[in-house]
Amino acid sequence: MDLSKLAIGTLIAGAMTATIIGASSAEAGKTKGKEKCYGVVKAGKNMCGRADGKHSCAAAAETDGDNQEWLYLPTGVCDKLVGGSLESGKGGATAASTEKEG
Amino acid sequence: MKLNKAQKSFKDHMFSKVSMVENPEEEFSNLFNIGKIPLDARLKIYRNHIVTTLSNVLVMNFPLVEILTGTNFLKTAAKLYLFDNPPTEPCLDRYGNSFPEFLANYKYASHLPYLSDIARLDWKMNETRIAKDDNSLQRSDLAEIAPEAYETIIFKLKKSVRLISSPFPLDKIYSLCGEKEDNEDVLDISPEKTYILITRYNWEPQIRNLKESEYNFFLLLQEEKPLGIALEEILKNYPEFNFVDFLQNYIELETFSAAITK
Amino acid sequence: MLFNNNKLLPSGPDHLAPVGIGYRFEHHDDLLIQKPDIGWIEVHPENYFSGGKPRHYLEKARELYPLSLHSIGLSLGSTEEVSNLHLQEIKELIDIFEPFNISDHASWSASGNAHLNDLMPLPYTEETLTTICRNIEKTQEFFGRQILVENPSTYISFIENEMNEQDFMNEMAKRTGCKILLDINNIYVQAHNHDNDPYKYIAAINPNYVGELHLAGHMEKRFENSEQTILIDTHGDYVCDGVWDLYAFAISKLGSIPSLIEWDTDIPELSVIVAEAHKARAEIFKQFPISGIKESSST
Repeated sequence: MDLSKLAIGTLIAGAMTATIIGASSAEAGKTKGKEKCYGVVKAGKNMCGRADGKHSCAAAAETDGDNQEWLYLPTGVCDKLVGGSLESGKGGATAASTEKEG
Repeated sequence: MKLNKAQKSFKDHMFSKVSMVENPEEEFSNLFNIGKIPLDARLKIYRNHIVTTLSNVLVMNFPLVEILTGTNFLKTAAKLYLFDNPPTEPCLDRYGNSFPEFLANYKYASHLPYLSDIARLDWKMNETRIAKDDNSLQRSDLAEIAPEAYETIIFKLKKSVRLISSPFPLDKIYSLCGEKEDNEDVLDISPEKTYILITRYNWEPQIRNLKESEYNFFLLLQEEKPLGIALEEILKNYPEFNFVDFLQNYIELETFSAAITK
Repeated sequence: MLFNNNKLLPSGPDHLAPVGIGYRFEHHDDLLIQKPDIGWIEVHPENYFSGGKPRHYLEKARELYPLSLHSIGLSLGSTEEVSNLHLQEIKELIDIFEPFNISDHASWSASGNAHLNDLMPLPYTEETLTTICRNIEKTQEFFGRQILVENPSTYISFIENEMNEQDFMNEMAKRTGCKILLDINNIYVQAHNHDNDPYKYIAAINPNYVGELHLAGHMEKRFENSEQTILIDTHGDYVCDGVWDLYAFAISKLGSIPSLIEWDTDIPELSVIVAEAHKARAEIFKQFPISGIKESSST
């Protein structure tokens, strides 16, 4: 459906006016940040970003950097998810040996 | 050996998929003094640092993927990724932007079709977290715009704002990732188109669901379409779109940094 | 939100507060709350290019302490030129935070499109000197001020070395007017790994060139079926006795120079790092007592 230029203009003008008129009460009544949380999908404790300093001039002491000869199967919560396949036929544990090579 | 050639050779030995540290090219190993400590042990210190640090960075930058697949699975994928995708700059907050694409083609994750989209969500949340600070547009700022210029307004999104859509219910998966590990419930994640807005609050990214119309309108604003044109386009496809609510809600949620007019 | 320059402290540590510590994310809150008795703080600019939380903390900490920006990404020893974008991002931090020192390393990271996340070793040759001096000059020109360049920890050495590391460092400072950031732990680590004398190294450094000293812990890695060990610069432990002795020797030769305690892995309570800083400060005051001013009792 086509909306005429005029109708769009009227719509915008109305919205702007309503927003501006409500401004002082909306901004004054803001208990700091409270509204901003509205509608947020609940996050868990593990998921807050670990904003660690990722880079330093120290050397890593770990020595297991080169163990890509063996592979792990997923072990996280993904086994709780069902029905997620977009395409059929690709089964689950097709991959990887779980053998750890010393 | 010329310095630039030596540096390139060093880089190649550090980022070879199959470690070349134990069997370095002869020309390369001839560069170094042989002391009481074997060469491979010396070179390994550099390679270990590079590989360990980068895989740890990817684990930090993709926390949802870590929860879904476990740390070991993610680290293994990360190690396979990093050899073909060395960092291109020293700021590691920004390392891993092509990791979601890598996961989409990672054969050991082919039974987890949603994993790449979750990784995209992780990446966008990371971008939200590290975005530069900017101001928030307030409702009262709009009073300074002349009414005849309304249709030309360009609403600038804050640098921390990100949008993402997916055929999977990313919001539900995100929620599940935060639950306690002993929760036995299974989650049906049959494909269900999801539209998400990511904003920053108290330094942390937050996600909320959007209606399809709101999401598409945000995309038009992101392209810096003038208000009149953006609105005309969105109302064509979504006659029910409520601009008054949109404007008031998302100014309130501090998604805009400015309203610019021609 | 913008940093208020009026709150800036004097630009550098004074003679009473010569020792600083690395400000790491693990202690972001603790430092602001405890306000420990230290002279200054140091951060890696690459960890503050982003906005958000890290910047916010650095702004607060800068209101309390002078700051040194210790870069790990300029790749001064690469045959490729220093990246303009990288210089620009550091310059932005310099303009906001007004550090008293800006430094990086005598090492390389960039090759082709890759930027290795480590401080890679250089052969000490005329070709390398020309290369690193060109990059130091470009950097100093861009920032409009002198920088400091640090001796690295190394695990391999090049056959084609035409000079030793200490002569390389002196020559680099002489040619570019940069200062040397002398890392005492790195000297100790490389001396062990390449079997040379760390005291001779320090004695050969021209005192006029040195602008900052670093101290940190390392780990010793033992090889199976061998008496041989290699030292790895982990910044994950107390400064060892051997490095403290070397530090005492260094300040006896070089003078009372701003010094830094670095601790980057297995990071302990803030008070542990502060105690290390006080230990370094006590060593400086022992050698350079200031008449009429009581020594700190906190060590």
